[in-house]
Amino acid sequence: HGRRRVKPSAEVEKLRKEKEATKIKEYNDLVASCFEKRDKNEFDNDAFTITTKILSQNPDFYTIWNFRRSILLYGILKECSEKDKQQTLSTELGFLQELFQLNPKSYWIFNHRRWCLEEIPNPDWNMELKLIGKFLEMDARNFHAWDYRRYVTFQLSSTTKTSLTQTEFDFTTTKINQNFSNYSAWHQRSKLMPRLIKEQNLDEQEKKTLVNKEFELVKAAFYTDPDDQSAWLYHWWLVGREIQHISLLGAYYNPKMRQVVLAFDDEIGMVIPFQVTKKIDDNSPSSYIEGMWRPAGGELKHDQLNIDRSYGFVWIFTFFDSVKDDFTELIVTVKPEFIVPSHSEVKLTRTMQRHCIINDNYNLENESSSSLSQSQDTLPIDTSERIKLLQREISMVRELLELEPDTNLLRELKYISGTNMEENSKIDDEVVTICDHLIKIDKLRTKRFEDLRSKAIFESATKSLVKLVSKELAYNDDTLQYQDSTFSLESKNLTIIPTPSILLYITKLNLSNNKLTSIQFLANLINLKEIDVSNNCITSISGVNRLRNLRYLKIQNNYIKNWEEVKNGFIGWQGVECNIYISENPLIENTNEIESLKIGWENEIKECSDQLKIIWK
Amino acid sequence: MGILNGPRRLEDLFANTDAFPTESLSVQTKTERSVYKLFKAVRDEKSLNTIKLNRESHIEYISDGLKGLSKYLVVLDASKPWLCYWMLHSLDLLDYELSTGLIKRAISTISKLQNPTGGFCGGPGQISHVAVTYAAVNALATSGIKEAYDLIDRENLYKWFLKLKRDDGSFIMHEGGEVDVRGAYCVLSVATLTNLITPELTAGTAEWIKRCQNYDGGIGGVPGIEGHGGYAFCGLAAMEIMGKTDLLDIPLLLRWASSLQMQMEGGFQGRPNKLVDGCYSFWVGALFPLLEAILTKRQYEKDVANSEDTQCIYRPLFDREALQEYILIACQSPKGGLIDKPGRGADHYHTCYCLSGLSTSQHHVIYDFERAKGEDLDSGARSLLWEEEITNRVVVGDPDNLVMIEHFYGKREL
Repeated sequence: HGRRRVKPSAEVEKLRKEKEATKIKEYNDLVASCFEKRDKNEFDNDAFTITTKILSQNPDFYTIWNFRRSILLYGILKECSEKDKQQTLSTELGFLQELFQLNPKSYWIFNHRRWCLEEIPNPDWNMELKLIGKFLEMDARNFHAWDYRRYVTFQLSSTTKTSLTQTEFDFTTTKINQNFSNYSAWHQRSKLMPRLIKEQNLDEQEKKTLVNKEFELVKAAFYTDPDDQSAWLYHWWLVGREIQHISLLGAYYNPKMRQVVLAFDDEIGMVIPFQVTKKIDDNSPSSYIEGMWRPAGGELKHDQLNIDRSYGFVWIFTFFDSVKDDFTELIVTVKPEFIVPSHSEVKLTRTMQRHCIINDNYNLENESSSSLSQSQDTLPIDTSERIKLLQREISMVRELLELEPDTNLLRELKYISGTNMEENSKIDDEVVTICDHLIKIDKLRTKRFEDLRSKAIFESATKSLVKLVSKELAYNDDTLQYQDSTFSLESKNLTIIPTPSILLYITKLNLSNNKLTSIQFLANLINLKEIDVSNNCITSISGVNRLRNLRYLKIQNNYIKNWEEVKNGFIGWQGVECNIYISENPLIENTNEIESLKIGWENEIKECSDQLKIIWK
Repeated sequence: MGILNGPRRLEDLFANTDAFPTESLSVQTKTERSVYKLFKAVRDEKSLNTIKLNRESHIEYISDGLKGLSKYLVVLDASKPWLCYWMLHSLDLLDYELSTGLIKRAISTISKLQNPTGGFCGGPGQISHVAVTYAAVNALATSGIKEAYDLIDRENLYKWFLKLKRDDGSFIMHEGGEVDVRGAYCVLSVATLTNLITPELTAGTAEWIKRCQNYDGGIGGVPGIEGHGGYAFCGLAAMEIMGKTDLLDIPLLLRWASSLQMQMEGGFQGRPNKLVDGCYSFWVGALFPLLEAILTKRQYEKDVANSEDTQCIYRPLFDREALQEYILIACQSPKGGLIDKPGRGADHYHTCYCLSGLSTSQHHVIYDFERAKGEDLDSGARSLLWEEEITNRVVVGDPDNLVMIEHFYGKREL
């Protein structure tokens, strides 16, 4: 590499070529004689020597490895004593060790070695462990070696019936101390840590000590190099692995519309239709109800059957006409395989079954009582511990911010703002402060920080509307149904509404003076009567055409440029009389003929529905 | 954006050099310096627009290889179809017209490597191997003639695939061989090209691959092992073939893949805190068209459900110009052929995957959902619904640097 070579003279070149040709011929002859022996099933010492020669030159020759195993099994090792067998295979292991020097990343050498160790009467797993330790000294990122190490420790601990988790954990510590950019070691650690806690049956205090030490280690790494990838990835695992469970906020039956309404706290996609079953009386078996699902904002279309799935926070199930209203109970079942979550930080881990609330009959019990399982590869610490930990990490983030303003802190924040805990309002405040700071200093990621900030503000503001029941969210007060209720979140610089379904029973919504760019989320809020989204950055009206109760839409002072962006929002209007306030949008500015245009537009909107009225002032 | 025309000065892109000098950091800094030198020269001469892909010298390099390889390549003796595939595919990408003689020779070489018990092997007399079979069938497909397809013994190929399948859904690479996610991808890719995908073949495989994805989003060779660019491509592509990408955590995989593009070099590393390598231009680079299509599909379904006109196509989610700068400025060997990183020698593997990565970053391929709508298409038919968004080509340097698109459906006449 990198060495300069003088161009060889023609004569030297000719000699070299001749020499090369001889070598190639020798090799080809070896292979030919080897195959001849194989085809004749000659599993003798001669054949064995030939394979040794070939494999020394070309350890990737998988066919020869297979033949070599046959020679050992059906020739050399056949009918030999245990002692001889041990001897032969030990020599074989020595041969492999030599080959490893040439090629430490060969699939075939590792594969053959595993085979030898499974055949050998008394495998020396301790020696293997030492050997692989040496390998990782030569190249600490060799993933073949890491995989092999896991295999060896598994074998060793099952033969000796002792756990090696602690020693392996210590091994990763050594590796990280040698080079904290060794992600292979950090990764291995993330696999070992949960096992360590489980096996050693640590109490809360011991866990806390262990976790704290872990944070010290990772912190030391990014204080030395704040741009290091490995440490941040591991840190992310360390803090950020509480699974957010998708919650069914509520399930209701509306007898007038013959509809079941489900609200989730995530914009889920439906892969398989949720099941709706009814019971006629306590003694009868339940039976399936036929009907059609759609997301609240979606159309009920015939070709919808052709689409794999659709998405929404709020889902509506309309009974087919043939279904009789003869039931006392309605039950909805949503299984994990029925849905796709909107993003990676949330999951549905168990089947949810809900009694629908019919009229005044409140019953929000969870039918299925299976406990929420924690994923095996997360850190088993409890919620209050996690909150403390987060608060500490936030102060560290602050510290780092002062040291290194452009450090990538996203991972941190994303998790923090993603928590759903009762005591999270303090954390939310912190997130908002940090985001405010980051928005200023990290221009490339402004939009993401604005969204994170919006999320924190929204979650903090809606806390009174929901309650937390065994890690799942539910509406706090179901009597909200059909009553007038107001929700207001003005002048907060919101860019998104992360979980609109929380506002399902709100009838008057005020989100004025924010930085919203879209109102598509309104499609989920089927009970809205009045909306104020004036003074935002909205470019078109959408998501409102199915809001049957909407009477006022205030969307003054936004970025609507074209009339089509208004009109298209009302196609298929089925609602009540509704006033639309659209003054101070670019579409009305800078035109002399605005008055005549307005008359034309008013007529057009009447064509959609004579219930709609544009208010210009 | 690119590196040379990017928002930050070249000199500001070095890794944190005043940090504690770990081994990783010192080799990283060394690599950055070697790339920086090359980038700086181009910047100072303001010659980015004239940077050329040395098409002729690469073609010459490959043509020399076709004549015979040196003894240093003895380790590839068990990989003849790979050499065939790398060379043919490289020539194809370079828009070099493959001669009838060359195609016939390739087909004849490969046909001799088919075993009567199914599958292809690396050289005469050897046993069948999944990766080699992948290379062989792809080389045959590159030839683009029916004769090539007809020589494949599909019946025994299928039987052999089933022999390699394990109860947990994974595949071994050859009889007596190792397990990893390459096995699943190679089997499924070949089965798609030969129309052999069955529920029997794919049962349990998607669930097994899902177990290979880690908390950071990366996909490793087997469950529990750290993520790796090459395996990630195999895993995602296999899932796409089976129509099971929903089982993977796509946003997390996207985040992981994006983090592998280097800030100074512009190329990709294969794992966090490793060095850039030209071959990941394809293995990691090609994750993006797949990820973009999956995300576009999700958005499309959302829009259809909300009865909105859908126009959303995910834009390329990596820096296409930066990758081209790395390949063109840092990965072209002056003697022809392409390389891992400055200072290394050319080989056919890196030539093939650097060029494949170049193609992936120049062309933007998208999946045609409108045409797929409502039809239950198998993976073969679906693979034909990828097309180029012609208006979204990006070519760094000389306009003649444009190589062919990765998916070539043309039929060759002999």
